[in-house]
Amino acid sequence: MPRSPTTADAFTAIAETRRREILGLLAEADNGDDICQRDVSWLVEKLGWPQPQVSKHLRVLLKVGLVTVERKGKHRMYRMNGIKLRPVFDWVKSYERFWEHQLLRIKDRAEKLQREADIKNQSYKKEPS
Amino acid sequence: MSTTETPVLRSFEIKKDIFIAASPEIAFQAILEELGPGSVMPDGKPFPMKIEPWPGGRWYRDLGETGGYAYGHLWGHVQVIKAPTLLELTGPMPMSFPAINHVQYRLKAEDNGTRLLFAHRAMGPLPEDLQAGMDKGWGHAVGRIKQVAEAKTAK
Repeated sequence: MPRSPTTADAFTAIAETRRREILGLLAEADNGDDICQRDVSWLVEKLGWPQPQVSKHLRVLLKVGLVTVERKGKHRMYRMNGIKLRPVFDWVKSYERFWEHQLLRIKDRAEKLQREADIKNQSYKKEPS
Repeated sequence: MSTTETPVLRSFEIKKDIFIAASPEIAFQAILEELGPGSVMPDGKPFPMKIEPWPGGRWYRDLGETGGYAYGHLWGHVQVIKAPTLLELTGPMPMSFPAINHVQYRLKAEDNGTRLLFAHRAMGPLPEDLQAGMDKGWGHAVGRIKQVAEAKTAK
C-alpha cells in the first residue's frame, strides 16, 4: 500500500513535526481578529529557520487547507484553519490521554519505590556492624 | 473475491518527556508494572495487562476463558528490551484494523533521577467512526496544537 504524499490531506501534512510547530505558533497568535494573521517574516523570526524552509512548509499547509492566506499590500498574511485539524486530533487525542495518564502513574510508582528503597538503605546503614 | 479502493494511510507521533526522581533501574521496573498488572485507564478503571519482558514477548489482555474458549487481545510484542535504558513495543495496540504502532520508552540517568523520553508512532487508515465526522468543526484542535507548540518551545 503506497504511503500518501505529504500534501494528500491534513492528516499527512501534520505528521511532520516542523509543520506542527508552525501551526502551533499561528494557533497561539489566533485571537479571532486580524492581528492573528502573520507573515513569513514573523514566523522566520519566531522559529529561527531559513525563510525558504518556512515557505516550503507553509505551501504544504496551504494546499491541504490547514492555513488560509490573505494578501495585504506587499505581505501575504497566514492564519490557521482549525476546522481542518479535527480528523487528526480526534484520532490522536485518545492515545495522548492514555499515555499521559500512564506516564504520570509510572513517575508516581517509581518515585514511591525509590523512597521505599532509600528508607531501607538508611535503616541498613544505621544497624550496628 | 472483492476489491476496494486503496485506502490512504495516516500517521501520527506522540512524544513526551518527563523527569522521574528515581534511578533508571527503578523507573524501568515501574514501566513494566504499569504495562502489566498495574495498568489503569485514564478514567481510573483497572486494566490489567500481561507483558513478557524479553525479545518477542507478548503484551496482551488475558480475559480468561468463556465456555471453554480463550478470550484476549494482543496489543503488541517486545521489539527491544535493554533494561534499564530502552524498551520498544510494536504491534496493533488496541486498533482493530490494519495498523502499525511503535512505542518507545528511553531512559537516561540524570542528576538525582531519570529522564524518560517516550514516543508513540502509528500508521494506518483513519478509523471509520472518525471518517464519518470529518466535515464537522472542532474548536478544541486549536487549543490542543497550541499546547503542543508551547511544550516544544519550552524545551
